[in-house]
Amino acid sequence: MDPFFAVIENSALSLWLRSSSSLLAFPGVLVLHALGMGALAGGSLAIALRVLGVARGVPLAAIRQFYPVFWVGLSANVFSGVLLLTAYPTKALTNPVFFVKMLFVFLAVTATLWLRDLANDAAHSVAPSDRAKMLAAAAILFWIAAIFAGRFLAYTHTRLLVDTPVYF
Amino acid sequence: MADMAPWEIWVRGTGLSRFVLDHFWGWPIAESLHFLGLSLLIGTVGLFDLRLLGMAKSIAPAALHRLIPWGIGGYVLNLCTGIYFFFGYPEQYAYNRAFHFKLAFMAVAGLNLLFFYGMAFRGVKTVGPGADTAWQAKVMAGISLAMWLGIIIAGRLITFFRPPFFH
Repeated sequence: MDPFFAVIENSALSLWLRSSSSLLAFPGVLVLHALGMGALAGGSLAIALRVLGVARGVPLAAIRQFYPVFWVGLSANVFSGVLLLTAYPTKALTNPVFFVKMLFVFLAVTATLWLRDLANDAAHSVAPSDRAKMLAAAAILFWIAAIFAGRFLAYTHTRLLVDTPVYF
Repeated sequence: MADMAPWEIWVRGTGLSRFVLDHFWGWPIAESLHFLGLSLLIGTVGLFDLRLLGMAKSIAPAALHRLIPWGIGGYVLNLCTGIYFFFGYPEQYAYNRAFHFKLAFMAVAGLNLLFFYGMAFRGVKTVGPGADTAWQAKVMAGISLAMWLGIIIAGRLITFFRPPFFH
C-alpha cells in the first residue's frame, strides 16, 4: 500500500492541507468535521431519544422533518473526512481503529435511517414499537462508539506519513 | 514556565491536575466524552432553535422542549471534562485566543438564555403545531444557534492557538 499512500501524500491537495498556514486548510477541515458531527450525531441522538420516549408530545412522523439536518451533517463529514484522509492516508489506513470507526459510522447511519422508516410506518401511533426502541438504543450506542473511535485515532496511529519512521 | 502566576501554581498543585498528567488514557476518554456532550447539546438545543426559526412547524415548540434536559446533561458533561482539560494544562487555555473567544461566545449564549427564559419562553410555550413563533423568539434562537456553532468552531481551534512556550 505504501506506493499508493505516497501518491496521495505527494498530491497538491494533500501537501496544501498539511503545510498551509491558512486556518482554512487542516484546521478548517477539522472544524467542519466537528460541526458535521454535531449535526449528524447530535441530530440522530435527539431523534433516537424521541423514539425511546423522551418528548412524547412530538409526533413520530413529524421527526422526518428534521432529517435535512442529518443529511447536511453527513455531507459535511463525508467531504471533510475525505479531505482528512487525503492529508494523512498512511496515518488512518494503517490504523485498525480507523476501520472500527468506519464500521460504527456505517451502523449508526444505517440505524438512524431505518429509524425514520419505522417512525413513518407508525405515523398515526404515539408509542413506537419495541423493535423501533431497540433500534434507537442501538443507534445511540453506535454513535457513541463512532465518536470514541474517531477521537482515539489521534492516539492509536503507529505511522504518520509514508516517509516518517514507525513509532512503535 | 519559570515564572508561573499564583493561580497557575495553585491549579498545578491540585490532585486533579496530577491525576490528569498521570493518566495518559484519561485525556482521550475525556475528549471523547466532550465530543459526545457537544453532540447532545447541539443536537437537542439546535433542533429546538431550528423549530423556533420555522423548521418542522408541525411540532409544537413546547413538545420539542422536553429534549432540552438532555442538552443540559451534555453541557454538564462538557463542563466537567472541560475542567479536566484545564486542570491538566491550564496555560494551554488561559493564554489562548481561541479559548478566549470560546468563553466570550459562552457568555453571550448564557445571557441570551436568560433573556429567552425571562422574556420569550412564556409566549413560545403557547405556540401550537403549525404556528409561527414571535420575532423576538426567532432572534434569540438565531443568536443561540450562532453562539453554539461559534463555541464548537473556537473550541476545535484551541489546539492551533496554543501559546508558544507550550510547545
